Amino acid sequence: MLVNFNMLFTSLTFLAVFLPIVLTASWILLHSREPRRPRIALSNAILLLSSLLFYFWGEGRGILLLCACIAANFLFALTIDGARRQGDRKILVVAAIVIDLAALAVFKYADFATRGVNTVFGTKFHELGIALPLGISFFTFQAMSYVIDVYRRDVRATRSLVDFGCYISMFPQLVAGPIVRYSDIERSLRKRHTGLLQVSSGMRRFLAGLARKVLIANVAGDFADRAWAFTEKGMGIHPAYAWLALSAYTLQIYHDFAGYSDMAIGIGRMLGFNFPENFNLPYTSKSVREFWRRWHISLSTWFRDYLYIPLGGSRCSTARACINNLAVFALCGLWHGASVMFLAWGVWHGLLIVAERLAPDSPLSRTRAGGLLGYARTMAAVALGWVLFRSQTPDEAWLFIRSLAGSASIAPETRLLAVDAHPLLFASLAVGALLASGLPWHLREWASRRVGSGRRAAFALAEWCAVSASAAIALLSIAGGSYNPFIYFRF
Amino acid sequence: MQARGLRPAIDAAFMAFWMLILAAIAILRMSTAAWGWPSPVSGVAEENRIPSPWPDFARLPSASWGRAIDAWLNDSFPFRKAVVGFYRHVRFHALRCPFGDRVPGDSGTIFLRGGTWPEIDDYLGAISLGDEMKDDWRTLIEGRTAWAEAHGARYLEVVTPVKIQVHPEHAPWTVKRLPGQSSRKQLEAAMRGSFAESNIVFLTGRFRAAAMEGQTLFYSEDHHVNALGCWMVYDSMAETLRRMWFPQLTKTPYFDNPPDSVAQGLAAGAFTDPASQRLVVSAPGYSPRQYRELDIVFDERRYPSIPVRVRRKGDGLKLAMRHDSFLRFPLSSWRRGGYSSLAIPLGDGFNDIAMFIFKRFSTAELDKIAGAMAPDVIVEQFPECKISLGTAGLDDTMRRAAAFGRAGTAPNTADGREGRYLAMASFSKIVAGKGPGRSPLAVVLDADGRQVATAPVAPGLRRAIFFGEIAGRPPFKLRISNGKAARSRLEIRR
Repeated sequence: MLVNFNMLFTSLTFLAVFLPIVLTASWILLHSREPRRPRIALSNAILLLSSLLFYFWGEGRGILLLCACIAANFLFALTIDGARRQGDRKILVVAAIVIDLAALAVFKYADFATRGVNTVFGTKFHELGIALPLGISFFTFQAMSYVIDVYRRDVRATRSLVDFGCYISMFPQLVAGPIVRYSDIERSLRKRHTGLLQVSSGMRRFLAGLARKVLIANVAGDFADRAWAFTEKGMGIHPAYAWLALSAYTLQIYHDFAGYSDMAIGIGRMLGFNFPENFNLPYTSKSVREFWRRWHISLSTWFRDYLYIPLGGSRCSTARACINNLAVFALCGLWHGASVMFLAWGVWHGLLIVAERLAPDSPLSRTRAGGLLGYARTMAAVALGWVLFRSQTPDEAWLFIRSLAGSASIAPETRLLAVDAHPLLFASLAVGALLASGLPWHLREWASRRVGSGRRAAFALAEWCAVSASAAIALLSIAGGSYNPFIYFRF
Repeated sequence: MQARGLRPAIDAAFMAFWMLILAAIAILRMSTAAWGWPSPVSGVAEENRIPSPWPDFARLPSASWGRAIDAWLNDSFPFRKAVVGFYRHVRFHALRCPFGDRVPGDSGTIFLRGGTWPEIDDYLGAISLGDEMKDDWRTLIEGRTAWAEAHGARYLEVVTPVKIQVHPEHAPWTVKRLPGQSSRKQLEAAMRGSFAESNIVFLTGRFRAAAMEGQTLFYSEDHHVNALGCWMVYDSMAETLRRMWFPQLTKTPYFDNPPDSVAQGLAAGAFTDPASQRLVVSAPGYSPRQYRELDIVFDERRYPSIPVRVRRKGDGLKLAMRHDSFLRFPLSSWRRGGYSSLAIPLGDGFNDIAMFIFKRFSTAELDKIAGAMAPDVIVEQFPECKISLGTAGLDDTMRRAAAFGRAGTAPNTADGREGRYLAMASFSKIVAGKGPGRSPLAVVLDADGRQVATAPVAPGLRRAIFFGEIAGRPPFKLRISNGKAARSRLEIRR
């Protein structure tokens, strides 16, 4: 799910105005080691207001839905927490979930369902044509996790609407995650401070994420978009370009999403929160199951805890477990967007998981060669899944797969892709692949173990310099991107 | 101990550095407003566009406030010119990477692709004109030609070249080795042998020949022709008009180094202003008028499509011309003030030149122009990479006019045989009858005492009607219903 939002983390308005103001306010209030409760309350209020402004910036009136979601779930959680009878609690939690899902159904899936019904039954129901509110999947899932946790008595319902509003709408993770559980930040909402170590680590993480997004994901995405634009028009492309586009998209989606998560986690740290990690080198997985333990961790654990396990998980018959897997992954696919292709992507991953479950455990898999084979098999399966994820229609996906295989007729227009296969693309892909392999992180770990205490400052300096240089280039790219000569239709 | 103390210091130093960097834009922007510091904002003027203004929130829907502020900040952050210049240099000159639709080639030359200016696509032969589009183009030019002649005017369509066709040597190496069949070549082939072949002029050959001699005819970072290229288009246009219909037209010579008389405006000539890189036309007879004075107003008034009218001493020829920014830009800037000093290198002959930017003429708009100024020449210009974007202005009237132009002549007296004919009626002037509640003004065609065709007509100078296919027995007779006409002419073909 690539982010399309007005005040992106990579916009000048966010970087130069919004972020410095919010961070400064937070530091002023929370710099002492033991900030007093009123200061934290004021900081939460500022954070809530700035988050609502952030959302309003991109969504305008859609903020009403966010506010309604906050108010409704806050009241439901309080009522659930206060209810004594288990039956009442169950009714209330079901009502809260139904309301959250209804919001999702109306705003995200209504038109998809209408189109489906019209196609299958030949009816002519009108589509509602409602614009999808940004981040609705994230904030409704966070809200649902909260009321379910309160119902399960994993957390106590908060009495502060400001704290709860802060949790649901917190701008770092509002539009693209990670999906944070209330238990993850409950303590920080009541007691936190922004020390030098935490803030500096947050800033490094944020700058690294910014560089990752701008210098790798955006460059790779540009080529992928142009290649897919041809298949959208029904034109086959040269296999070399198709493979390059698939590689570019595979790296784009990872670095885009992971870069955004890095920025969110970094901003969270600077504000005194510890958000959970969302990615853990997913492209180093040796199986699809491992991939899902490393990819969009906050989403996969959400589905595991609130859907897969309640359905019976794997502690049931093999057939039932397979059905559970397929159902969960189909819904996971639909969560990404109301489209047949997202559903197909989810089902594809469900089938892969089921296949891995049913396949006999081979002794080869425990050898180095087996590991490499598993890695290659997983990467191929995941990359093929990205074709489904990126394509708008089954025809488009099939055309792209035929292009990969070299069996599609190549349109002359696609020669334009030669212009986009420039050295910067290959450099970005190389760096992206290196980062995705995890080698730099392993080197960093190795170096930090080897470096003696006397050289830790030098190590920190080197790390800062590397991150700062990348971020400076990214900032230059963002600012330079405003170069826009002779766009006369702007008049 | 020292080492342990150094780590926080490094963290603090870098954090302070980055906070300062991030906050610098806002701080500097506010400081200039609050304390009147010299504004470090710069850059947009060099891009020849108006910077995005601070948004008017009352007029904008709330959902677009953020976008409007983003656009404003993107255009007005301090030291923008230096930042953009450095970035552009790295991206275009050092890395030679495309940037959106802009593709860098050699020598800092930028080409465009896709969208409304698909010059690279066209060069690569990625655009194929279908038979239907080729036929539409042919019909449009033939229709325009016949329509103009019926209205007492001459018609010329000028197809101007684009940068990559003139300077392919500067194209990226991946592109220049793959030239294909451009849409201009396809159209040229389709127009060959047509009724209006001589009414369409392709200038690519002349431009390419000049480029082969070492001339540079386009701005390096822009898709418009430069001052010399602009002059060359007008010069070719004047030459074609002079050769075909108006021998009295003269040309405006171009000087690399203008003599004093030309530089001082005492003699006719054109040269490039080294400071602005725009074409300076020295023409003693010019009396440029403000754009507001042109009373031909179309529905769409999007700036800068506001028409301009230039009046000057001359031989009484009137020119109505449509073009895009291609020819306008090298003459003056987009800023409104630029219009007042507009001078056009068309030599002597024209004393009234109306210029319409961007708009492709519809028949209704041509009717308005003919009624208001009765031009002797109508010129339309468009760049060759836009051929594939379609034939704006081709409607039933133009199709009928084209069909009339192609048909063989037949005398109106004819042989008295019943048959199917094409008819064109023209009038030097039509005046509507007076009185309220009258039915609309119409031209009626009678034969054998019965009405065989009728068509509504607007009052004004030089009016013409192309009837569709009519059935009847010649001779046909014209009459005006609810009005009167001066000097009418009826031509019959089949």
